[in-house]
Amino acid sequence: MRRVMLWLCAAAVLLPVALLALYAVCARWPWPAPLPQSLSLRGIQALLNADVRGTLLSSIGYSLGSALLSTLIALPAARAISFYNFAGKRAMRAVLLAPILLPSTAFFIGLQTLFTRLGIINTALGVMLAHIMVILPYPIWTLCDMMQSVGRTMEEQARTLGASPLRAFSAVSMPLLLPACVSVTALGFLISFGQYFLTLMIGGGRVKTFAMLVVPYIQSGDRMLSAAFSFAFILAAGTVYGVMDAVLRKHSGARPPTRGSLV
Amino acid sequence: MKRAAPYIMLLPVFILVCMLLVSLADSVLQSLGYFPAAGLTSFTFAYYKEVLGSLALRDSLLYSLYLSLVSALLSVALGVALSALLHASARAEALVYRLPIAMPHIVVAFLVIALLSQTGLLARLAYALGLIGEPGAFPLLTQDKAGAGVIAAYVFKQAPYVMSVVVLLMRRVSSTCGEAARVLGASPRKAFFYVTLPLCMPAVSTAFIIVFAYSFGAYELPFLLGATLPRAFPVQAYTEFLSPSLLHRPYAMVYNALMLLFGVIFIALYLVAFKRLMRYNKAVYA
Amino acid sequence: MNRLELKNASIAYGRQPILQAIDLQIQEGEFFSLLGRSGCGKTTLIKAVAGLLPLYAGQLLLNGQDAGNLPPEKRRASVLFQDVRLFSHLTAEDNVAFGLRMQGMGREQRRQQANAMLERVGLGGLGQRAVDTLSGGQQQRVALARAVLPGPSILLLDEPFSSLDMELRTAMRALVKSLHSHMRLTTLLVTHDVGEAMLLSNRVAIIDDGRICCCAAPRDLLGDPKAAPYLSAWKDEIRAQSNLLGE
Repeated sequence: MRRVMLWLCAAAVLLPVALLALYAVCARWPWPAPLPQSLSLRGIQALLNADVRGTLLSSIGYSLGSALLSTLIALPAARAISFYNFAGKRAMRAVLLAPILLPSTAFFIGLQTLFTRLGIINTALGVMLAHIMVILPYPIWTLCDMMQSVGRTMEEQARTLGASPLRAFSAVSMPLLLPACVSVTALGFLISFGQYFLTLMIGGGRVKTFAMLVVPYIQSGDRMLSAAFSFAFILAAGTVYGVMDAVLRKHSGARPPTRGSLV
Repeated sequence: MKRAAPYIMLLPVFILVCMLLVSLADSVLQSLGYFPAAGLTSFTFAYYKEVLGSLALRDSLLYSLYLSLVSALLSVALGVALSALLHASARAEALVYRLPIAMPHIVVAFLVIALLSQTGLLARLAYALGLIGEPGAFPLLTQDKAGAGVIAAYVFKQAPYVMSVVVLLMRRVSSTCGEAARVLGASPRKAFFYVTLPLCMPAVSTAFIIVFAYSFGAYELPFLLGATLPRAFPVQAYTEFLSPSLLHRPYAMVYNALMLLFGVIFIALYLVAFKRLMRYNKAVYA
Repeated sequence: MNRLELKNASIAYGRQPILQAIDLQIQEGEFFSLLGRSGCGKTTLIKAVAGLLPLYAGQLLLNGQDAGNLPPEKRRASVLFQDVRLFSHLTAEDNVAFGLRMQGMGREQRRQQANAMLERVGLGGLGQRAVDTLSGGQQQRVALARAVLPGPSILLLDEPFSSLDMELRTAMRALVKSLHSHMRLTTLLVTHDVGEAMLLSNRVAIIDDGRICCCAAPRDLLGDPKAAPYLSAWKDEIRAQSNLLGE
């Protein structure tokens, strides 16, 4: 029974992707033919266009950058939240939930007005900053969990043996946290790479990400190009994610459990 | 210096948090009529009165609440069911939920169109099976009033997310308290419904709140798949925001402020559910 | 009658059998202990007897009937787990009454019996409390009450006292022993604590290297040369302690 369910789920998830691949290469698929009438490489050619490739690479760059920065910011923050008491700790908890629980449209419109005033609207910096704000709750959340379960006792041991606080952290705790850091960065990458509305709001038309290339095709009903770009999207995201995963596995041999994200 | 440590570590986050709060405050101020850039400098509730009385608001609010509620309920039900069926083996679940989580919403929107539209794959299948004669005979599932396409897309993304949150916990609970229930005479089904599931409920309810909040406030899916009328709340808000006249901005900000109000309610509900979660967690992980 | 009988049983945890060629008979009303080092497979044996793990080889008989394929809920073998495992969404009373509820007993009747049992274990009046507000020792008692109330054929104790401090441990041992005598409860205790096994049991078996090396009443075990290596450390400690007390 369990196997049946498993196959059903795998099918429910993989068939749509196969469908994408099919649509990506079909030129004519008029109603009501069950299979495409003719194939075409126009979609793939459009993908290989120099501009498109450029956008793809720069998008990957922006997203990796945002994800890395988010993880770097999250590390000390998670440590502060896990092990220290400070004024406003409880308020911080609620605020960190905001990017997840506040309606994103309101959040993004608000950011748009603010960034306009700050003069970073329509810039790559503005877009990355906005992405970081959206990503942050996830690495902080996950790293807090990890840090709390790893604890400080081993670091404290290292301290008694004469290590400086920084050394104790980097030599003892960091290796244990590294897998979580990598997987959380991968998640951040996925979140950032998939953003459409946010990049539209903050980047105007100026900052082009790969996600933004797909939407006009979907709206115009051009299924072939929509599918080609969508498939490339999943492929790119999956590859970056897979590379990080492989690095993780090689390093630690195990995958730490992370909750997924909705975004 | 030592005492300052946490504050220093939190500095970047703090700056971003301040930016967040300022932008929210800005929205609220503008909704109250304070928008110097457009020459509006007096506070008033007039905009609120007008928007709250309008049909457009009422319709889009009800429509969004309906869409979020239905998709959240279905996602949670499906996510929990999948967790219940698949939690016994670790690799199984990863297979199911990793891919949808990696797919952005816009791609899922396209998939829904490709599958469920009147010229989509399912429609063609129906034709091949002799069930319908022409595209128009296939039920309208995208850009329809019932929001079937939107709901389907949300469930496709959200059920795996719920599963990812619940399955680990369920495995742990089942192998401890679930086992205890079995030796006390409970059949596998009874052990699940009387013990394992109730103990997972706090986690399930936090997942529900997150999923509900997200689908309520997100723009992409209702924009690509939703009906043109009524517009979902986020789409309506953005439409108002795009108005060329700056004097119209306060109207859009009323929409924003209302969304923020809902957001605050969601946060409060979440914190309550989370407390319960922590209580159960201690016992389960003891 | 033999409540529990294992014939040439092998039990595996994963692929490899941890316990092999286990022959065991526990009689009705007996208090039997299984002694062994940590990690020797004692918990695995409990799980196999309770039905949570299948036997790798051999036979398991409960009340004279082959129980190898019987699911746990049909075996009437209660377990007191090391990690307690109380249901934190239920009150103490509902926890204790759980077994009776599974047997189909009505609400009022279960409540009465549960509260009576809580009284019996020294927690009278605490029925309505949420279990996570109780102390560790109190939680153990609730778990014990819960395991005992449904009237199991055999009570299995999986090192239940190792996390308790000395005072609580002594109290719990006394409680278990008293329940055992009054209710004529067949009991199987697995532990690594030699003193506990020797003091509480009618018979003790020692597990070594996956097999039972000796099995006898405590007094006889003291004289058994095969048991000597396992008991020597304990004997030394007792001698040291009694020297300290000047007896």
